[in-house]
Amino acid sequence: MLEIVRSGLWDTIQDRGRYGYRGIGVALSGAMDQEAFALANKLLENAPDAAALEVCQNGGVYLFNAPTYFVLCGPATEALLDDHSIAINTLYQAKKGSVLSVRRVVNGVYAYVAVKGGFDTDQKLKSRSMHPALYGVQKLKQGDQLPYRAYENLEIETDQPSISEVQQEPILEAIPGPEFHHLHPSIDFSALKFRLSDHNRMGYRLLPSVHLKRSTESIRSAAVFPGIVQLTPSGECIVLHRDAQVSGGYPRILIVTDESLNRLAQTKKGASLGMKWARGADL
Amino acid sequence: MKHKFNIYAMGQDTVTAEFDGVKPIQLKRIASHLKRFFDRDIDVLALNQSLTLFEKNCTARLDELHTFLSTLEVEEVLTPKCWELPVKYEGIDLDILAEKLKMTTEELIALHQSRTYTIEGFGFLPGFFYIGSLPKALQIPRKSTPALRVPKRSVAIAGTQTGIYPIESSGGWYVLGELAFDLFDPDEEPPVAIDIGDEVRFKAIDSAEFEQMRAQNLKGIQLQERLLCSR
Repeated sequence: MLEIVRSGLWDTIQDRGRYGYRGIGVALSGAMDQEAFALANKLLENAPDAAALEVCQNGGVYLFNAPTYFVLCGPATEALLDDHSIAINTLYQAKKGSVLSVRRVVNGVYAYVAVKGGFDTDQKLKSRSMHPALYGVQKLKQGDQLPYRAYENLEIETDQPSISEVQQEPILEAIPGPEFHHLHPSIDFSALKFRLSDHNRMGYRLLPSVHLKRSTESIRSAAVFPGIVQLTPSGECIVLHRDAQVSGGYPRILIVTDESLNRLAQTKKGASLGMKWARGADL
Repeated sequence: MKHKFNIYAMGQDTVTAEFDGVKPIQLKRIASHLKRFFDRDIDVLALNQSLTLFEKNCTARLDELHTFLSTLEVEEVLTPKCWELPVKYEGIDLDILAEKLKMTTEELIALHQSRTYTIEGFGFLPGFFYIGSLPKALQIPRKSTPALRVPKRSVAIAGTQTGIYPIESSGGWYVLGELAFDLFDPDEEPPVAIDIGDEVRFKAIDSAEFEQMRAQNLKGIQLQERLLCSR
């Protein structure tokens, strides 16, 4: 078990997501930064859908109750293993009684703590990704126990991966959405700037540098998914993220790529962002 | 297909087909034909006369899908399942809603039970379905300020539809009462037995009946048998 001695700001268990149930209204969920999450499992030679602990901005203090190997993946993060600084994207051995303290994600927002074999927490609808509608709680709390299988004396080949630099001003790549025509035709997307005003696991609110509104039409409730950009009546753009609902009533003006969702997940509140057309965007 | 439709992609893995004038139960039938097309159990969201497929690289088969749907024959007459849902009509918004609709709460409760409804789609929350259509006299826009906490199992109305909250949530619909059973259970397979196109009736129960049913806490096949309408 990994015991949560002190919980972080927003600790959850996440995997690749909950596929196959959107037809009954169940959100996709899954790790906010799928790239960092995938790297964690790759370094441990885990199955790609092994569940990891996702921490947001400020992590907590975690006690290993059994020996294992673990990695911390994501942007540069301040963390200690038994009072010694550890690096990201690097394999470490934890003994029974080791304490991991994840202090602060410095160069981004989300980081992942993964153990050999993954966390064996409760599965709901074939996934371990925590969603309040299925688990009854928003996040992990002090005292929670995350089961995992004990490992000692493993041989894992450790290639130091190349780390993609966090872009100073992230540029999101998008294709037009079904209601793209709701926008003014003169708008040049690549010249627009956005400010990230707030965010959570469901969505990111972006304030555009120019007024985007064109029509007051709302659409009938229609299918949405992570990556859809909705235009609200007040002219804000909501980029739907991993925990997005399956339907929404605002015009779907753009769809950003999955890679862009990973970038966005690591963008801090207040930051400035750009937008450009994805390669192959059919205009 | 006799019905007109419009099909479009949203990225690599999502395709929506919007139909004109199909009944919810026909949408369900089209969805099952699509499973045959893909030859496996694909994820399809039925909503407002549209079907959305979430399937890796399904956009690559957009033209094939268009041809498949064009030649598809969908039965006009299909027999839906029918469910009778027991409700304790003591919701927090009952009195204020009766006042807004200019009727007594008794009239409101009777009117809500006066017809057989249809499941028109899923969305909003896991296991939340849109049930239509309300009698004209009960149709009202959603609240201008949503309530922060709508309790689990709330039966609520807005616009032309009734909805049942599978979990506690914020929400802008007027709460009429509470359902005696949980219709959505992530630990059951399927997590919800009621499907698009099915018929629904509401039946008022008193507090004693409600408590008895809550205590029974039926699940799975037993719950389905309990709720199926007697024909």
